[in-house]
Amino acid sequence: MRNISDDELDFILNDIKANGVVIEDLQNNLLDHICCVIENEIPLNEDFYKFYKQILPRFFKKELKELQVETEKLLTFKNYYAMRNTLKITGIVSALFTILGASLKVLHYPGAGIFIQLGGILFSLVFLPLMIVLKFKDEEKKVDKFVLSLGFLIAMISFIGVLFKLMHWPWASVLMISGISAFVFAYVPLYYFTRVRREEIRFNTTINSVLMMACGGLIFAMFNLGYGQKITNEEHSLTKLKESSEHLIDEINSFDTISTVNKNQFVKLKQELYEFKVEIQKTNKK
Amino acid sequence: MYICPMYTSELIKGTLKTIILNLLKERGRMYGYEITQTVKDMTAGKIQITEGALYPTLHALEKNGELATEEEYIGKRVRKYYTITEQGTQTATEKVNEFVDFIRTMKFLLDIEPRVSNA
Repeated sequence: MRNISDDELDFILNDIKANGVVIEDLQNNLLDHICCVIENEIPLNEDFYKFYKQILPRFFKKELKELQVETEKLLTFKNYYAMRNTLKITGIVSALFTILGASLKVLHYPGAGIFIQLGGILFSLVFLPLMIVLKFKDEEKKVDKFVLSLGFLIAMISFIGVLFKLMHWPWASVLMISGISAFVFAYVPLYYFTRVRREEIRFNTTINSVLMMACGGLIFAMFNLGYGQKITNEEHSLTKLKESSEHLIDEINSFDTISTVNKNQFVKLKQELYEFKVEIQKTNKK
Repeated sequence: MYICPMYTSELIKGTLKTIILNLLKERGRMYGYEITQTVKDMTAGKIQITEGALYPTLHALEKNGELATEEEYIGKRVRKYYTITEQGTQTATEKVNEFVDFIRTMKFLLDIEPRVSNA
């Protein structure tokens, strides 16, 4: 049995590191294994370096780094399954919560807000980020990894926007408009042009792109179907009128010395102002 | 994929964990090279576990808590000895039972009559 010298040991370890094996445990395992092979199998008077080069291909098919990749794959395999299960559960739960919340909202029953919030939060903050991680892992092509992950990120922003809008929270419109705009004008073209050249997925890519463009376009168009400018202006002037009349009434009430007659006149004026306001509202509705 | 025995890799793919766990269950403490040599000797070279398959599997089994490790210095280098845990023993029994059941099913499925051994 031949003994390995310290220099030879350092040479093997450096070569293992240079070949892309970075897990220390794996480095030590391989070092010991290679040393054992050399110690037990090297023919008498055989050159160490020559024999080392000869036995190294036993450890891989193409390159030594395969061991590192395979180890990492096996180590994350357990998490991968847990992530897929979480994805399934959060997907189903968020869909159920959203449908239930929307039904309660339509029927004006209590609890709608909580269900919609939970559904939206689960979907946009758990389901979609998990989808990004899994797509990154599953997709083979780098371009697909990035494009699909970008899509899910845009979907996250849009759904958070929708959630904010339903809950009447601030920044809802900014999130929704930026999300939908990015989806229609950036993501769909990117998705189409990165996949359409591949013969095997060309048909599906075209169909998906058309569907996404149609849905995104429809949602985008809906942003313009809000209140008209005229109605908004009139509502604004009505609010101002209401504020000024309330202020006036407060002032009147604060005068202690004012005569009852005058006070009655002011009450009458208040009544007239109110009727005037109702009249304006009726006109607007017509 | 990494096992290059006399048997085809497709045939014994997926049995590596069962082999390692059962071997450690029977023999106690072993290190990587020792495992490959023992399997090779026991099967008269018909099954040779390659290093490319062995170490990723050992690391995965260790992470899952099915194997425990002890480190020992052999001169300047570290040798990692693997021992089976209680959880690993349970997994080994389950895997062996599953494999026995699989063989029975395959026998029935392929209609194989047991041959008289030459031994």
